[in-house]
Amino acid sequence: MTHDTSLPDRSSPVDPVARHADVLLRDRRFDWLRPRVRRRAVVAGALVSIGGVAAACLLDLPWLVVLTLAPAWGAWWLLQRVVRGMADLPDPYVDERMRQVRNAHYRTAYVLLAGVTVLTLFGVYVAADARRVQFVLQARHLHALFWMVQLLALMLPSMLVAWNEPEV
Amino acid sequence: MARPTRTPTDHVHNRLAVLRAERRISRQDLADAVGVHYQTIGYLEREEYSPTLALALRIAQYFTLPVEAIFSTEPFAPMSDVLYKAPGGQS
Repeated sequence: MTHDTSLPDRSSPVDPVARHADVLLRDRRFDWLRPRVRRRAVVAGALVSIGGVAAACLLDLPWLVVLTLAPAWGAWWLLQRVVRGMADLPDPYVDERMRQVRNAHYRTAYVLLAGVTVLTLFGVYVAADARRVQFVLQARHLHALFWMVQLLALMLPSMLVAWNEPEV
Repeated sequence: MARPTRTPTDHVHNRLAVLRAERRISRQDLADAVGVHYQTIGYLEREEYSPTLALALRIAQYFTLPVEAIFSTEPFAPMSDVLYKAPGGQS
């Protein structure tokens, strides 16, 4: 079996994924955000935006949740541009180095996400079970956990790529 | 089973930067010709990435050179040494 390691023809005017991949991979408008320090600043911003959504959930203010989802979506959009969609484009649209980097970071992202989720659930369980602490598990806690896990699952691979890629 | 270790031969040296400069080819042109992103050519030139055999062969084909003239597991001698050093080690 052979495996084609070259990039496919992304100039197809009809394939929307091909067009999107072409735009992301050739886009130089965001080169100013691609030095490592700035990439890491975008990652920090994305983490803050996820924290903001979780905090809004904990405060139980639905309008604030909707409001904080906008910067989170913005952070995700920016991350896509900064790493040229490397973590999210389908396999045929990225080259062999990008695939290698992406695979390595997906593994790390999986371990990190599982770790964060398990530790948070464990913390909630311990807090709910402790005799000394008054803690009642409420819907707002579950909402916060839900959004945190969802947004991390969406952004963590791109965050890791943005954080770890060497200077261009 | 013995634990696999990273050996020095995992690192692939190359003469891409020299060849590209010599033939006045941009990273983008080379990248388009061999089907990778232009940044990947940069990572290859800085030896931060070792190509697959398929990519190494495509690059060799593009430059119409044998693959071992471009890639090696041993560091390449400077071109000036290769061109001007007399056989036997005297310049």
